[in-house]
Amino acid sequence: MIVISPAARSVKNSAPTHGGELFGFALGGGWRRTRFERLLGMCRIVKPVSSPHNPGMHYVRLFGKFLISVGFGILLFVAWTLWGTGLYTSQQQDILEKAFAAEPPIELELDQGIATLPPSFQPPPGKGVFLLRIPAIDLRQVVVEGVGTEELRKGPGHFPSCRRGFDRPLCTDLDAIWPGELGRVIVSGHRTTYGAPFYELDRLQPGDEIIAEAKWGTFTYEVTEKEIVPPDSRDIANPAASTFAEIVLTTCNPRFSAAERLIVYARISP
Amino acid sequence: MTKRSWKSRLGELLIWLTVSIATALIMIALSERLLPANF
Repeated sequence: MIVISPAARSVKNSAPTHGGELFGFALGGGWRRTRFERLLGMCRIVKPVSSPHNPGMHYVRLFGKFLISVGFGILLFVAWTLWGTGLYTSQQQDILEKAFAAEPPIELELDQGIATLPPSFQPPPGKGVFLLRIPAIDLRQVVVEGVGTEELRKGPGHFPSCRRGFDRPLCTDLDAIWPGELGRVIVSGHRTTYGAPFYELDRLQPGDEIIAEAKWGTFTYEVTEKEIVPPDSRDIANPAASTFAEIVLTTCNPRFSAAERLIVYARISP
Repeated sequence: MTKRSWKSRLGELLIWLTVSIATALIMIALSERLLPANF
């Protein structure tokens, strides 16, 4: 039998105070009847709750929500960087490949398999200049002229000559070399973002083929070696005069980092 | 704690979503400047 005190009767008939319950703790103001008490209808089983005028709790809650929102924003950024940028590159590659296929061939006479392009061949930045294929890592990309931020968003970029007005360090101090020519063709590409065309460049082994399909011919190179250099190294961009044709692919190393640069050298196949 | 209307809760959610998107945009803008060209 439950004994009801006079005070309990007054609680029973009083208007409920405002407040909420979280994990068994009552929040809000004043005294509040519990659910059990309400079931009984009259017993004065009450517990103290915190003051409704606690500004500290309000700001803590607000700061928590702010941190959650910022964290969600960082997740959005990571998703965009890893996958969203690839959508743009994929779309640009489709456009470049169609435009490249529609271009007429360039008639050149090869001297023992070595091409020599006229000095007038100076494609504008961002234009597709040749098709790069590496069967060992299932890569097929149209290489664009230039290695600036805008160009590399479209795909791997061919190092241009600084003599054409490109800004250092995104150019070579020598004349630009094209596939099939004597000297070093330099191609730079993304490894983490914008489709990551060179994501698996480290998997290449000596002897693997690198094929450059240009409008003046198709040239096959064989990987000779790999090298990791500091990120500010400019040695590959300004090689000594070469007596053979080679292609050099460069990208960031390791994956998801720009602490070093990975370089793959390949010589033209006889 | 007073009971809030769904409009009030939706409004607050939109504000925090705006904060999230603003954070993402700021980080994208910063990454374009800070990351190397071929990252």
